[in-house]
Amino acid sequence: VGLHHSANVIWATKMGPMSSELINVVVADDHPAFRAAAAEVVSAAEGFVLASAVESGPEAIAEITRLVGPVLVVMDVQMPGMTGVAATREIHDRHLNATVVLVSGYDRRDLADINECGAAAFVPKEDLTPALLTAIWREHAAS
Amino acid sequence: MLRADRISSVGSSPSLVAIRARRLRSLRLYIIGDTVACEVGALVCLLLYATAEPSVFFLWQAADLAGCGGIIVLALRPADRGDEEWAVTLLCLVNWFLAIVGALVTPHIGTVMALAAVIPVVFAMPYVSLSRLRQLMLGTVISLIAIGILSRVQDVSQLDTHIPAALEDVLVIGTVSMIALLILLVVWQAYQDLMQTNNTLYELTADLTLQAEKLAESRSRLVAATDNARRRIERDLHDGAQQQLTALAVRMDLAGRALSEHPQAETVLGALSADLRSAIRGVRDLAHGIYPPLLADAGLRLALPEAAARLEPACSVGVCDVPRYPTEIEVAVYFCCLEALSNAAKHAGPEAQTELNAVGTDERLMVTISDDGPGIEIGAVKNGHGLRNMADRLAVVGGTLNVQSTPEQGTTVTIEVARPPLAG
Repeated sequence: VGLHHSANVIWATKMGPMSSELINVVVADDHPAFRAAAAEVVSAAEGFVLASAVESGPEAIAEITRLVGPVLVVMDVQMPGMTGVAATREIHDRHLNATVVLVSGYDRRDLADINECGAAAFVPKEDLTPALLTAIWREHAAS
Repeated sequence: MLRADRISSVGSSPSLVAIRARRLRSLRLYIIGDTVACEVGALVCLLLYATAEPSVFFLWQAADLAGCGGIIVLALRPADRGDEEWAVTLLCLVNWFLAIVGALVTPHIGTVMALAAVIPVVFAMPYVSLSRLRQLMLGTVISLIAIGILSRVQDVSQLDTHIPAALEDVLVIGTVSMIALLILLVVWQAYQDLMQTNNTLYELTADLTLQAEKLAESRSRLVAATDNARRRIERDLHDGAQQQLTALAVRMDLAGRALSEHPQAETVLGALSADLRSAIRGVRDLAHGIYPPLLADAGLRLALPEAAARLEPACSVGVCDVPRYPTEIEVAVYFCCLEALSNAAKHAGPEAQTELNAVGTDERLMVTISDDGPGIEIGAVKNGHGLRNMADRLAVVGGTLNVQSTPEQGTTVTIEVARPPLAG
């Protein structure tokens, strides 16, 4: 999991939109307050469009399979039922065309198994910004 | 043997009340039996005086027996008041007097009188305190010496010298029979007492065992309830306040971005955002301290290294393949480890190396936290809240705490819980 850093953010902001095609974003979080805030972040990010905001991992997977083209998923690590880590692992195992950004209110040190689940990045929830989404997408696309 | 006053102080147990009631009945029976024996003896003496031999000897004996019988019956009063100690003391005094006068009047049956002087103290045992028993024993010894002297070295009264041999035989046989009856009564009472005490002790032991089990279960439930409450508070903080603050922080960044052309507003929002992030960290740390989420998710294998990593100075950790254990064990061991690590940081000094090792087998979980600091005085810290809380906490899950410290060589805290890990 690549952690964001400030250099990436500045670089991404200066570079502007990555292409003319908008990237679909799915937000998956069981907390309504953060789900709404994350949706606003996506809406404010250039080059991204909010496809849907869902409450669970299975719903996120269903959305990804429904959408055409690459998808960026903002996924909460801990959700009731299927966790964000389990959902990310399934997305990875099924080779779905989605880049997952794991987000959490917990400290990264308090989360188990987030390193090998196939997520592109981990971001503390309060650090989620449009610029960061862009940076992560660029970094992941480049790799 | 249980003492009467001890029993009465225990009070409410039905078995103990029954023992006390039975002893009181025995005492009354003994007093009445003793009185009747004396009065019947006195009547026999008078009868013999009137019909067989008009010797003053019989009048002496009758007066002695009747007088003593009259005093013995007075012991019923303290007995009824519940003052068994005074009742049996009176019994002893009168019986000694009776025996001594008997030896004075009839020196050649002194051995029988000696027997009569010994019985009361045997009977008195369950009813008196130790100090009173000592006094009664001393009284018995003095009485026996007096009887011995009176029966062997004197015949001052010479009252029985003219009694026909046949009558004397009747007298001895009658007296011995009465004493034998009293001895049987004492033996019977002692046997009953022993049996009932055994039963009571058995019942009390069973009762105490049951209460201890209930207490242990209740303690476990309390600890489990506390752990659940901690977990709930942590969840509430995480799902409630922290999510709201997080959403606010994200939106504040968006607002800052929207107002980027107004530097003053952006500065204010930037400062607010920094405060907000500080508040989020505060809530996160608070929630972590209440119940570390990694412990619930991944157990001690990940939670202990994570806890150690937060410490200053750092601590080396070995927790290879520690399996999952029931939640109550993991929580108890985790918080005890935190306490031990915090103690090591406090007492071992900044230069000391601290090491935490955990091993989980099919039978037990063992964690040692050792440092190479200057050591601690175990006696001084043992009564402190820290170690006591740790020991109490572990005891609830059947665990033990061992602390060993050597001056200038360091301290080792060993936490051990002899319970198997969760299956799978």
